[in-house]
Amino acid sequence: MPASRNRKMIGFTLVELLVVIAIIGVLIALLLPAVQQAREAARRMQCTNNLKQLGLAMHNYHDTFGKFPPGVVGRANYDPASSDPQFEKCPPTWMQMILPFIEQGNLYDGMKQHFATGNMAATAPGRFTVIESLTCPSDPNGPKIIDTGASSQWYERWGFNGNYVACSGSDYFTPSGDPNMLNRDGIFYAKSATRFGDIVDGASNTALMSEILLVPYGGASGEVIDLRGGYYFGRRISACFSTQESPNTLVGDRLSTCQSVSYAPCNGQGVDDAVMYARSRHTGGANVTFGDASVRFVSETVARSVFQAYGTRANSETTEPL
Amino acid sequence: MIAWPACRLQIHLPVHAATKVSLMLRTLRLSLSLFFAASAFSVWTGCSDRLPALPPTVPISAKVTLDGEPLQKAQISFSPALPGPASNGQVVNGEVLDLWTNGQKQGVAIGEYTVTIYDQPMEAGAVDLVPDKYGRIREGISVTVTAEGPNQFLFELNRK
Repeated sequence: MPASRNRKMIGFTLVELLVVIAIIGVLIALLLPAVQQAREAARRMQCTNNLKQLGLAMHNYHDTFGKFPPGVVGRANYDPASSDPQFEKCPPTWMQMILPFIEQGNLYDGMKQHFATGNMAATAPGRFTVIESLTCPSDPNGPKIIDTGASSQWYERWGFNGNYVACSGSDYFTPSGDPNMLNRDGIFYAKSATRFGDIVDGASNTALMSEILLVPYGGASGEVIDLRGGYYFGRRISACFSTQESPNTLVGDRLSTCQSVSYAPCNGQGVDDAVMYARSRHTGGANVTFGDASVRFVSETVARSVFQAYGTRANSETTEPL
Repeated sequence: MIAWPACRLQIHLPVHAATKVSLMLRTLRLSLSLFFAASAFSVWTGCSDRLPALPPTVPISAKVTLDGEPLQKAQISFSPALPGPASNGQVVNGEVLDLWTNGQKQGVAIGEYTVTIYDQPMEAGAVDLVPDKYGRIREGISVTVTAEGPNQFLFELNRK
């Protein structure tokens, strides 16, 4: 009998044990996805930081030269005469201009002479260098380098593609009236030289930079080519974005060479009505740097008109909170 | 955790050893299966990535001719008139194949579209078969894709 009394005093019944195990099971079920989200949160934070640094680099560039760098350093979609310097056939983008301000001065010095002598960006020395601060860790396809060893000097060997793009405004890059992208309503376009004074809407109400998703190079025949994020391919405006559609929109981007994939769809391919939209793999939206170098997470459910208002520099819209 | 059943086992081992061991095994088995179920559940909920939801799509049957002959090789896109997902495909020997919406779903969603047909690759410019105007969205061919069908189209392109 003492044995049975002991049993009641110190033992655990099977039901109790099972309940404990069930609770632990539920806890694990709750915890594991949370751990994965924590990792994504850390990646997003690094991505936000990269965008913040780019915003500060733009400010430093402005402090030095009195204006923001051009979105594309030359006309887009422009073919110079074959006897002329080929610089504008594929000009550099804002990215090369701010290299000295993101501690990549040596890389910039290496390609300075190349540009000064009228050569195009797609053959620039150092173009295969991966710049970590221009790569978003949340994008599984970054960093991306295009070097196919193709026979052509520059085509399909345009080097490093990154995730961060500059805001051209709230419209297409190349609508029918502006095939060379020379006058857009945002801060960055072809040969732009926007000053803070030109941002009449207010720097904190105007988008400066955002992020996009890269599409990996694929296909042995070289048919799966995508220009998005190509910093050395200024010819096709592959390093800008428009706020015409909200982040992660179902509406496809449109570039001269664009592969439609599930997270980065395309709306055909062409140089007319070219456009790219902000995209990311962060859950529910994308990061955007504003003119005051602040970085905010913009939800993909933002009203179209509100996001468009944030893209323009001088359209005097009343900005609603994002 | 592990100490509790072990303690209980020690106390009662002389009396019902066989029963207790089998109970232990059952508990162990149950907890293991629970753990695996929980892990499977967590993987299912945590790792499944959210793809943007697309409207339902319908299959399209289309033919493309150039100067009356079947167009050998080109790219074709259905660009929506209102903001929405576009569909892209290939033209092979006059037939439109592989039409995918946003690279995610086969077919084309219901609605009004501008169809553009163009050569690829555009940068290399190796083959120039289709006149450039058919590749411009504002000069493309307007079509309407309906839920009832039959959604059969014939695109007749001319080089002149």
